[in-house]
Amino acid sequence: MRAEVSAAVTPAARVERWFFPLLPNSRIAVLRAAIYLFVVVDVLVMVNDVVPKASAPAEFYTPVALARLIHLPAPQENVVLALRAALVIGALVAATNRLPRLLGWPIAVGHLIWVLYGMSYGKVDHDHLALVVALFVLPTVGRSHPHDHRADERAGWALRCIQLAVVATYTLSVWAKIRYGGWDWPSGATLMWAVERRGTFLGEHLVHVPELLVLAQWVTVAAELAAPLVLVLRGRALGLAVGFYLSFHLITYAAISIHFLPLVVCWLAFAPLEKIGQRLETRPVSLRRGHLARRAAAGQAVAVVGHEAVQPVPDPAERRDA
Amino acid sequence: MVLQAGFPKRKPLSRAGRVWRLGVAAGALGLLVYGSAWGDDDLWPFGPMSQYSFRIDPDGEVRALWVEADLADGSHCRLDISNADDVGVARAELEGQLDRIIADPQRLATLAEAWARLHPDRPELRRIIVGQDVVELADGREAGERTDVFTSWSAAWSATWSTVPGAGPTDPVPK
Repeated sequence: MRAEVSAAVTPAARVERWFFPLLPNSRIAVLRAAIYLFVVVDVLVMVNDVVPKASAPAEFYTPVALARLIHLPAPQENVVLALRAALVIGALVAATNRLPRLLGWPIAVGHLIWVLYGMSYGKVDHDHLALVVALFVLPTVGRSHPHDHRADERAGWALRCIQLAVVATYTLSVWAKIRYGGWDWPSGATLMWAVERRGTFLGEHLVHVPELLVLAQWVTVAAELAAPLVLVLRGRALGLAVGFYLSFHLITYAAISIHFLPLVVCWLAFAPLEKIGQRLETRPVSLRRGHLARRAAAGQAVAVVGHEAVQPVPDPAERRDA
Repeated sequence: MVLQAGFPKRKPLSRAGRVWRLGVAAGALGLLVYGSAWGDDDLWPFGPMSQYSFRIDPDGEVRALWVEADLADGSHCRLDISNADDVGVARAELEGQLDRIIADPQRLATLAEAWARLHPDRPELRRIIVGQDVVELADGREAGERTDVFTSWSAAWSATWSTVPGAGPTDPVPK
């Protein structure tokens, strides 16, 4: 019997199942809040030079391939000011899980245009892949609610895509190091170069211990190569691994003020964010009257997550379907 | 947490819903692989993850671009190119276009225009000089320093000259 079952699972079916893990819808709800709030930070702080760039001479606008493909004109100051306002307001509303598609798609496109402008002046940043992916997959999930812990293939696919983008950012960077720097990249003086040019207080001290910088280069390559492991790790091991990569970014920031924050935020796609929704449910009754009212309307089904009984909240859209 | 069978589920995806999702994921992964193998930054966001992928020779040099200017009030200052607030573009963008600026220093006039637009209350830039601070390395350690001057532009003469015969900006931003 068992042999029959495993024989029936073809590699293609396995890949398909891997792309559609049954993950709780509530994880998307929390992730959405975090990602859309970060869009505000991204537009106002991370890629904050689009407005000055728009007032710079148009000769400096060298659109990247995707910008040329969509015939994106050189930025106009009033246009990018309007785009920024729309993105900030839209993202703040979308962070509340309202209008997941109606707001989600325009934000994904608008944010892409914003960062395309940011990357079209002779230099691109490589920290945005996962965020761009996240903004394009989030609307595909449709409705999400922090108390809806039902298994959701749409949520599973979206989370997988973000996870893959996070991992790819690290692992593909090893490929780039071999391609551009050569196999002996780790023994070079690249970090020395970085510390000399944009070193912080910590970085200035590192200049005097180049051996440590070379060691850091080896550790970097090893960590970037090992990144796909987080796709198979679970529980505490996954937590430790994610903690390691976050510390890596913290140290990099401390030494050469490179933060990769748009990528760091997307590590949330690995976290059991649904627990935040569950935590809210166990707060005192008086604080969750609204939720109780929704529960009463929801019917009797009881779901168990971990050791806790939780009440799924029906998707209003699906209630309408039914 | 991957939920187990029997757990309450949202409406499952249709066949079509699964197919397009798998197709999009495969397409994006394909573009990423293509970008890493044959693409460059132009292919953003699918280009190679080339941040810090260049190798610096431990016996080579570390170069950092600077832009200095003579102002209309007679003062001389080093412009802040750590961000785009001063002249609309920042260090990395200028370095990305350094070869073109050296080939045609008249391009620097546009920096003066951006300065005038961004700082209408400050004296305008009459002359702009572009160069690099160079730290020489030996066995991965600092061994010496020097300054290279590449080109300049002057509003008064609307003329340009190159000040570094034979010392071209070899590989200002290593790729």
